[in-house]
Amino acid sequence: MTENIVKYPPRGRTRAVKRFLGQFLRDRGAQVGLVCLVFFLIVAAMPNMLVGPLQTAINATGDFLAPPSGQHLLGTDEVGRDVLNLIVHGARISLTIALLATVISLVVGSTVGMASGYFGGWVDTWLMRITDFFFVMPSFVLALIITPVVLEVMGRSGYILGFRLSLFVIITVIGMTSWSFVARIVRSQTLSIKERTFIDRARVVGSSNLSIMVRHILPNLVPQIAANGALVVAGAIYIETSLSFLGLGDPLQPSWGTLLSLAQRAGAASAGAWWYLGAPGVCALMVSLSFVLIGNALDDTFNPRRRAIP
Amino acid sequence: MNHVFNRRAFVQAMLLGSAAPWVLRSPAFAASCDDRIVRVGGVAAPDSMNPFATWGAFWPLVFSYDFLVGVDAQRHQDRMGFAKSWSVADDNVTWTFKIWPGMKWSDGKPATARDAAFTYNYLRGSIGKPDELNVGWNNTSGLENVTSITAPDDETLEIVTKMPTRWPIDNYIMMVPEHIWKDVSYADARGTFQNKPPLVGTGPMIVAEFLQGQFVRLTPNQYFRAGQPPSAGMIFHLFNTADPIAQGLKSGDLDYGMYLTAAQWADLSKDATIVVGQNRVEQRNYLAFNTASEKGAGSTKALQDPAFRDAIGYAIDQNAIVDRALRGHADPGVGLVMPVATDYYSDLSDIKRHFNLEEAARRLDTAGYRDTNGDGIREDKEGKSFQLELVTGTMANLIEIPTAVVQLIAGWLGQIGIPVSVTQLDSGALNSRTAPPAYGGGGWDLLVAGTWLSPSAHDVLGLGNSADRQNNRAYWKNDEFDALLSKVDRTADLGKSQELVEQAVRLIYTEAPYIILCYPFVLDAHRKDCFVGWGTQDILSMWSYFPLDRLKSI
Repeated sequence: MTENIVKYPPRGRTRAVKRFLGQFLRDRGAQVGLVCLVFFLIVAAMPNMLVGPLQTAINATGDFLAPPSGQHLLGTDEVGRDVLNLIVHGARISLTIALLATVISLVVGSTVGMASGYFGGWVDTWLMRITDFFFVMPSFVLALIITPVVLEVMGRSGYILGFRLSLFVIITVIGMTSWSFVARIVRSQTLSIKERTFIDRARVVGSSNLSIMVRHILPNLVPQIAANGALVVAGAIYIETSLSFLGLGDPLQPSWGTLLSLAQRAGAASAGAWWYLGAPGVCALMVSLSFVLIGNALDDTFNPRRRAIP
Repeated sequence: MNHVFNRRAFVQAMLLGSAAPWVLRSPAFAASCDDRIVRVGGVAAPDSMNPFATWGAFWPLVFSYDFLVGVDAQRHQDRMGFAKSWSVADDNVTWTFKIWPGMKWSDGKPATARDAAFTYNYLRGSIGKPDELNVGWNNTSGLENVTSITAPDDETLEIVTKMPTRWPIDNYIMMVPEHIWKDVSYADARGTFQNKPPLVGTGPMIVAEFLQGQFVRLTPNQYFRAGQPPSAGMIFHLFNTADPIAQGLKSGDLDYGMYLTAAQWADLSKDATIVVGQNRVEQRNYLAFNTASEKGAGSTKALQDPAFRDAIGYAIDQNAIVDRALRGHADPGVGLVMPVATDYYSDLSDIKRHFNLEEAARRLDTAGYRDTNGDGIREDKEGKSFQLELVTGTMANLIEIPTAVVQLIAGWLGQIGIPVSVTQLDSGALNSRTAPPAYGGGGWDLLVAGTWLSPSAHDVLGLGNSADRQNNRAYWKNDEFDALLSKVDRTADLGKSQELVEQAVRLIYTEAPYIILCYPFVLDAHRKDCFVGWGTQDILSMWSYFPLDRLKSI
């Protein structure tokens, strides 16, 4: 019975989704972002079909730092690997890191924010002080400090789902350092939602706190979480790239950041090898830009001033 | 109206101001040769000008201070140190050095044998005290074997050692003036005494200004024993990557740059105004196994088994490392001795391992490291699947080891069923991770790193010396090797010393705690347009101030 209070009736819901999509897809930024993102997702999904297996220092065949040519569309790196091959395989790693890190950050951020806003009192105070800590600390600096510690604890050995364990270290670190602003936004929204009458009604019929939070508050937070999630992805790509650039990544598994780091260490910039630095740089830029565009479009679409409050 | 005009002028001034550095850096304003100042760029991070307190200030202190003899004076007739000549008596323990007559410090005071005796006795006097001077370039190592160091007169220095050793001419302690250092306590010398510029030394270029992380300015020493150097001074730019060095050479901002990467070197070699050089040095890049058996041991006992390490040796292709990762700018690694130490080098051709993955696999099978469960990964004798952790990183004051070296090694080991994961660390973390287990290190399996020591027999064998905390990163201990080394330390005769070194090198090669990967070259370059007098074998010496004492502007 309680379900019917907040949920749209099935037909009304479909209409709402349609209206949302119509409005969202009219946004020029969202179009560009989506096209770009779909392209990179396809690339990341099937690297072996597009460019063959990952080239390593052992099976590389190209010349050293050869400029782009018919054989190597994006040139080669300092050990003769095809840069296009590395970029495509790197896409998978960079996107995996970014998306998983975002999931962690959203789960932690929403949980903390919602608990804090719903319960109030000392729970709110303590959770928000913890959030403040992560909020004032630049997440990149924090990641820089935490990464070696986590690496020490977790080690780098072994594989999970075909990815090296070291990847999950980076994912955990980024996730753990970028949830604070999600928590803030979710808390403020929760504060306003929990005063609405339908929450009181749910409480009166005897729903537990957990069920109220999950069934009644969370669905109303989805717009905020989605819009901010897109921004978190952009941040995660940026942090991953910087951490790997500073040599904290795994040199055997090339993400875009690792490639940038290798290029810098090989002296690509001063030797005129623009393709080696440029290719991974442009890719990282494009993906994070498209996530920002989508995030902004979502934000616009969900703007409360244009939206009927249920 | 007036108000608007002012604001516009202000904005214009601001724009001009922000453009000024850019304009000044453009080639049109680049440093011309007119000021006759030598501009040198290098990847270096000196943190103090006190040679007793830091290892990191070889550049630029080497331009200001002399060694008594050192490496270069033994290799090149035209390069000399504090001593003009030296000889050893028949008892092989009494060394007599003739110091240059009439030599002066850069402040004009006479530089005599008494200053040299002071430097050595200053260090020696600290042995065994809580503030022992063992933390910097000038340190007590080797002085424990000395009976006395005296200066019978201003031009004669006498060193008597407890047993025959070549230390008196092989040591690289920088000679400092007594009148500056006699009032510095040991505690200060090892820590807080900054030795503020201008320094007082006997080298051709005297450090006059030092800005940490930016540059060191040096002025010519008017009292230099071979006459004041012809150039008007020198600026040593300190960088932390090689990119600005290559750019500076191209634009004419630098006359000389060292520690270039292979890609930059290839790019600069096409430039008609630049001469590139590669310089054989004493650095060795190695793969070390963690042979510790108790505290600090690695993930498997196989690392302590010479048969296992020997088999891995067959899976490392030194030639491919040189060709692919270092692009030919190195000699392929064989034994502990680097080719530049000609007195001791041997190619070990009769016992050398040749790259062959099947041979490596066969030897692993024979040694009992098979893949019994058929998952493509070998198991050790306890039945645990191999998963080795390789740590690596850039150590301070070394030629950087390219990442491709690690990629190649991980690739080969993967092909013979030994998966490897890689952890890159910065130099501080790498040092503490690979410190002896008693000092909190250990726990890693493989290490790719390098060392750069002097070519003396003692230093060459340092990797296997169980008493050498700093260099024996494999924690390897072998009584026979230690006995050979202590004999080497007590030998002054070169022929006998060569024999002992050869024995020790063969022993450690078969035991294989280290697989030597390569002996990399220093890649450097100089511009042709401002100065003549650069070296031909080595453009700039890695062991002395050559050629700063003779560079002439065109």
